[in-house]
Amino acid sequence: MPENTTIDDNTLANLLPIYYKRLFPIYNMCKWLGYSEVQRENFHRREFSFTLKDDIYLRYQTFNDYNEFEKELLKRCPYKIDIGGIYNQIPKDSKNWTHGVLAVEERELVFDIDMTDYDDVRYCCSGSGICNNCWPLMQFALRIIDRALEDDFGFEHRLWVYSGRRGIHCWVGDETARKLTSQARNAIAEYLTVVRGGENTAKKVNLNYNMHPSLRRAAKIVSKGFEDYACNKQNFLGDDAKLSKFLTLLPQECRDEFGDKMRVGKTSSDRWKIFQNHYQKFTSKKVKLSQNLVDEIMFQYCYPRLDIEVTKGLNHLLKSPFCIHPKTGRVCVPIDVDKLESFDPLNVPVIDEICAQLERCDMINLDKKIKDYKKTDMKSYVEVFEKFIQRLEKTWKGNNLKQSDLKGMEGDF
Amino acid sequence: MIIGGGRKQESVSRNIKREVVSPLLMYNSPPDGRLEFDEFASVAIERFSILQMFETIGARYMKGGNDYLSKLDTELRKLGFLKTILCSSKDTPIDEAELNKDIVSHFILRLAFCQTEELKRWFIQQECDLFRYKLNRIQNDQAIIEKFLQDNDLLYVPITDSEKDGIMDSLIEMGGSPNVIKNTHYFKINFLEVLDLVKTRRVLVKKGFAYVTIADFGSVLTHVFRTRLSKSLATLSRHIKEIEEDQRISDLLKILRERDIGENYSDTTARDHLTAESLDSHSIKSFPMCMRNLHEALKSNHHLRHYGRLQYLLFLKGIGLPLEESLKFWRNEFSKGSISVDKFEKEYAYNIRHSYGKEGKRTSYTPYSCLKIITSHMPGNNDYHGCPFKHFEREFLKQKLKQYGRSQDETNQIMDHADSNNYQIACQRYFEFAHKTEEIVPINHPNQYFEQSMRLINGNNRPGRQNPNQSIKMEHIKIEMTQ
Ligand code: SF4
Ligand SMILES: [Zn+2]
Repeated sequence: MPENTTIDDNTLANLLPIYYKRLFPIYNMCKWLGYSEVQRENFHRREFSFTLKDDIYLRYQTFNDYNEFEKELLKRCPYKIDIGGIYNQIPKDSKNWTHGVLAVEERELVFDIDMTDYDDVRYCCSGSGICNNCWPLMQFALRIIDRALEDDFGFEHRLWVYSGRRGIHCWVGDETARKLTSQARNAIAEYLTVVRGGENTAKKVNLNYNMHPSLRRAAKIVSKGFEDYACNKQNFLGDDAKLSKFLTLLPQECRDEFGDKMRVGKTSSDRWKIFQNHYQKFTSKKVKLSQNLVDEIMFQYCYPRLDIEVTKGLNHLLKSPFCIHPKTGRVCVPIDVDKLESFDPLNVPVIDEICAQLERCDMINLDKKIKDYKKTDMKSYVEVFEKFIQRLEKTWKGNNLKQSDLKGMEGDF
Repeated sequence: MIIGGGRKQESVSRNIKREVVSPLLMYNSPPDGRLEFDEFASVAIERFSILQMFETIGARYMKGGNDYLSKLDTELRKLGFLKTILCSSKDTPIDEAELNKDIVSHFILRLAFCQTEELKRWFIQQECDLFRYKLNRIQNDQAIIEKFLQDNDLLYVPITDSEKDGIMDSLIEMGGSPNVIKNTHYFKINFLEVLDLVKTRRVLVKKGFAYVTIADFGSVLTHVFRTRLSKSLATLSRHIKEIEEDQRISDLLKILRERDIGENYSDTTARDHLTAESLDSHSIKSFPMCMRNLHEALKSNHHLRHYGRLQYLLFLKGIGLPLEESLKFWRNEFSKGSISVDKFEKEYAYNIRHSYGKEGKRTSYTPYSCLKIITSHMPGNNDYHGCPFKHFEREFLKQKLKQYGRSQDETNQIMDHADSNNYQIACQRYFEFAHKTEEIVPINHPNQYFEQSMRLINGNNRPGRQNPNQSIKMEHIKIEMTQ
């Protein structure tokens, strides 16, 4: 199991100023979060929160523009930046609120998937640990949700980000997505949820006889990688404890029967095959097994587990892309969905490394023309981000054109 | 709509023209005609209590489920509301008087509930539930539904056969048989219009569009209803000033808005006399969270800031803490902090007496209702007033609930209501869990919370304020009106 890296507080405090000044993509962040050329229009009503050293937490930070944001960022060098919604008035001036009128006007549709929610179905790590053997869970989640967002809901602007430690986030920036009510967000999150029930429910997935097309699609995605993930990486039926845990997903009456059969197999893979074969043949007067049992089991082990609250709430904050994770020192980098297979969370840029890379470059030549991030491992990740923004930009450029057209026409009259 | 004064003229039923002859109403335009003032007040109050009932029953049973519907049936029958819809026979002629009442009362309540976001949200939610309920009760009447669509310009066009072919596979996956699908009309609409179908994956969604059949139209119509209602309320709130110039109307609206008709808890003479010492134990057993929070804050900080002081002071007065005891209590707490007895007498005692009507103008101040606590004075730093279900940070609220002995499951249920902005229902659930009672006790007022709690704990059924559905007293309104 690879070591999860850590970074100490002092190193972090020393490096953050360099990171924010030279590597953090401030300009693009502002462009994105303002949904316009960096103007005051939206950006200045956007809520940020900064977590400073010693857990000092500043909520409701807003910035007039790019310059002010940069200034504050360099002054405070936050350990963590969270992004909130765009309010209808500036939240910082709480004195000026007319009561009840402060409201979030726009907010990206966001998803938060956290490895800790899978602790009952992964055997390699627990809590905040991750490794290459459980990472496929995030790959499943990303693929399934990404497809649903695009094919089912028609959202085109999706940014996936590795949280720097044990999970992934998704930001949907389409205008329609930003304007969704909390009810609509809740409905979407529910639509994407199939694993339900807490500690006291053994079988957490129960599908209708007729599986919804979105679930069929998900089942295809999962079944492609299930064997490799569950059998090879997790060895999920490898010992007695794991096997009996598996058997709790079946009705009480037939657990022994299946258990006896499966124990004959030597590897997880054998046992999984035996299970499927026996399930096909299984008949009994006493119990009726679900028609979709195999899918239900695969879903219980692999289907995305969303934190619905984060998606639902308009005023929930979510960690900003390109933050440094204060414990691991890893950069929260965007994930290129087309290259998901090769994305390795244990191998993303770490703040001390990229700062060192920058220093080396400075020593060799001081080429001012090359942007700093391009001299480091940040390059490919910033490019993913830029691609996301360029596509978004087209939407508001379109809008601006339409609007200036209208203005032009008014002028003619 | 003209509201008559003076002599009783004709009744609602004959004088108001309604929009369409169908019990399913969109309330597009206010009725024309003249309405006797007495009747104006009574229909408004009746509808208000019906909406309250929808709220209470909706908090207890799963909306749309059988228990929910049958409970509503029984209650509505008792109240004699929606007789036509509840009648099982299809051929019953539509009772015009009933329809008129439905329309008129709806429009009056619009006036009362259009002013703040909080009120609007409450009203819209209950009206939507009522609409949904009606729909459910007549859903098999194709004619009514079609007429409704027509009357309201909801001209949905079915998708073409070739479009249908494109999604055929998915429709079959969802369990339709090819033949049935061929013969069914499908409509392509924005998924936002059928959120409850999306939520439960009961509809095919592609590229942001949901494919629904006529049978799914319940969701579509409720969505349309909600959207239109919230638009009209927004417009209306801009004109409310003109309407409120009529003093009598504005009084009525005020009463409806306060939502604690029947008693204002300012008269303490009839209540038990509490002692300062008993407050610690009462606060644990019988205070709503807002007050328990203030009590604890006062105990640990030996101080409360302005609004916190007011909220708590008046509450204590309302539950029957006599002036002398109150002075003793506050003096005692404050003196443990940085405030000397001397300073207390000079700066605080006067106000306490004042609030009991013993100084100054000698008006007796009224304890705050939930609505007032929820909607006024956002707490700032170092403030402890307000309603925990609305004003606490989520995580903090959760912690508190646990600390106060609520289980994980109870906490989740309470949080669900708080998250959907149903603060008082969250409080109601909290009450039920804390008292381990099955009884539904809608919470409109912290003092009512206390009294209901005492009633349950002491096991006597001394009529405190019962279910407000019954406790809305016509006489009370009338007195208010004639003053
Ligand atoms: S709902 Fe009312 S009684 Fe309950 S905590 Fe809030 S303000 Fe207090
Ligand atoms: Zn692992």
